[in-house]
Amino acid sequence: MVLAEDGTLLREGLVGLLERLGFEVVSAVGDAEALIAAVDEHDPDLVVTDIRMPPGYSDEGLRAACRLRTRRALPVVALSQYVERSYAEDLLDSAGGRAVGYLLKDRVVDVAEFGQALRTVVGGGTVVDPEVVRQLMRRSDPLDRLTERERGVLALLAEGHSNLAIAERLVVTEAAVNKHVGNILSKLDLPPSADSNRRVLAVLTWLRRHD
Amino acid sequence: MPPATTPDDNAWRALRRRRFLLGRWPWRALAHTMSTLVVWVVFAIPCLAVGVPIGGAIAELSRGQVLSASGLLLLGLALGFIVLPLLATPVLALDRWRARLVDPTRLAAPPRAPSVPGAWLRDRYLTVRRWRYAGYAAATLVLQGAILATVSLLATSAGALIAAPVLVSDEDPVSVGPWQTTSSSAALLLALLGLALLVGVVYAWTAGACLQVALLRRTLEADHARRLAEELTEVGASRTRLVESFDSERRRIERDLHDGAQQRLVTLAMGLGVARLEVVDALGADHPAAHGVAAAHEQAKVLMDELRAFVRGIHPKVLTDVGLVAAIDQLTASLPFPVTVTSSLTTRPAAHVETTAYFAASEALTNIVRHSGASRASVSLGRDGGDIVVELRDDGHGGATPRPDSGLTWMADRLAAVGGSLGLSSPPGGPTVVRMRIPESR
Repeated sequence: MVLAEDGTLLREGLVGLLERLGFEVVSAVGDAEALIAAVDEHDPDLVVTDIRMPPGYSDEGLRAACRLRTRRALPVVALSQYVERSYAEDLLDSAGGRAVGYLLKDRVVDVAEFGQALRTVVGGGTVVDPEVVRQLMRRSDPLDRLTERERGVLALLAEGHSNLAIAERLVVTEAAVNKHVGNILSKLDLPPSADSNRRVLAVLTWLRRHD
Repeated sequence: MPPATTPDDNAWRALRRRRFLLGRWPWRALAHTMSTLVVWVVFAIPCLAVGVPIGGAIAELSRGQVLSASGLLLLGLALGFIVLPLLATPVLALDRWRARLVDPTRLAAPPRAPSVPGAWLRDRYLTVRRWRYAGYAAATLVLQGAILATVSLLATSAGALIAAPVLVSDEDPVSVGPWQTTSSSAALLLALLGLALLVGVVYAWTAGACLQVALLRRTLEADHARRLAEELTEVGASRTRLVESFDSERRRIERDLHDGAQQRLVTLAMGLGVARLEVVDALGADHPAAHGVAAAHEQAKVLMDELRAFVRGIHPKVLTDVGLVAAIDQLTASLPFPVTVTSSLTTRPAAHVETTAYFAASEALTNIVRHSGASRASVSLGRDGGDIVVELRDDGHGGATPRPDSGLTWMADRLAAVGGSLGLSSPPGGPTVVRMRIPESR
């Protein structure tokens, strides 16, 4: 994998963390241009990039990630200083929203969850920061139709978790989660789907439309 | 009747009192009127320099010599141009000093002339102020002359009338205009008339002196008011600069914290996260060491959140990077009730406008959370004329009033510092609407 982060200290820390999690960091760079060059050179399976990078310190990392993903659905996890839904949307709009993650930078300290999120993205899945999902959900009036439990399941669903992962988090059976998911999809008029990632994208699209 | 010596007493006030004649003001006003003579004597010679060529011009014109008349006139005008502004300074100084006879309130001093020759010339001949002074000098010399002449004439007449009973005899009639009398009773009547005239003269010279001082005051204060206005503009500009330097200082602190402490803290928390995994792997989750590391990890995360919230309060990065709408959107996301954010802005306003609007809106939202009891709120942003307009509405119980030290007063001050304004409508029972306007250009 290739890592792009402009803060030297944090970059080195991240390299240590990623290697501990079992990823091979072939290149760790400090700006967006170097990121593109490193991807061209190493053709990695995953890119983790900071969104805000030199020279302009606005959204260089995001632009680079989206550009890389126009060629192929290169798995990318973008780390953001703050929740900016337009960033999440740009990423979800690239390469059909597959194999992409948008996380707050602070999430990296929850090491195990961060590792899990990276693996989901490498596997073609979609991961959205809980904060983004929370913001999307609190604005959607039609969600009033859902029960409290269903809203909880929906949030985890939108973050990119599988039914099994949701069941583990909520300490319920997978069958119960399956039932909730079925109810949610029908209440939101979304097609039932066995492919968990297609379901995630459908839910995210729905939330964005009703924002 | 108030005592005649209150500090702000003056001849003009005394004039309207019944016992005016018994006080000191008639005498002071008389001294003022008589001192006009001194002014006249001092300035007669320079005035002659102007008067002679102009008089000559009139004489030439009456003889039909148009060419030499215009030459003399031009010479007179040129001399006037040179002499009047020079003359104005001592006239003004003398009049300002004399004015205290009539009104002890200090008059604004004319500004000092610059000492550098070039600047002195420019100040003397090319400023509106100096020409206003010159105008005053010319007007006052005529006015004071007229007052002095009138007062002298009336006083002499009054004196003559009062003396009538003494002067009158059968051989020597007293005449007033075409009317003559030799009767002593008629003369007594004339004396009474003279006495009345004398009283009138006292009033006249006091009024004349007051008029002259009023003219002087106007001349000096027109300037004073403008200087005050200039100083106020400067104070306004310095307030704006102060707020701006305050803002840029906040941005600098935010940047320093972001590049330094925040990055270090994330790295530390990450390291603790890794250590937590290692310890759990090596010793099991129930080992005391695992508990210790886990607690440290959680503490670091809490500290990270607190520092992030703190830094956001100083100056949110999203405001710099993405803009006002995104920053307000993010601000509202953490509030305990739903807030709709709408914007018709198509381009980003200037940085100082965004910063002001953000912090004012932030304060308004804090107020809504704390005081309104609202269950819903909306923020709308747009442009109107040359202004950025931010409007916040809530469905709370209303009745908001700006008090000193309140959030509303702070907002109004903050907006005023960049030339903006705050409008508030908050009837009891609600809804409350706060409208902020910030001009885009200064």
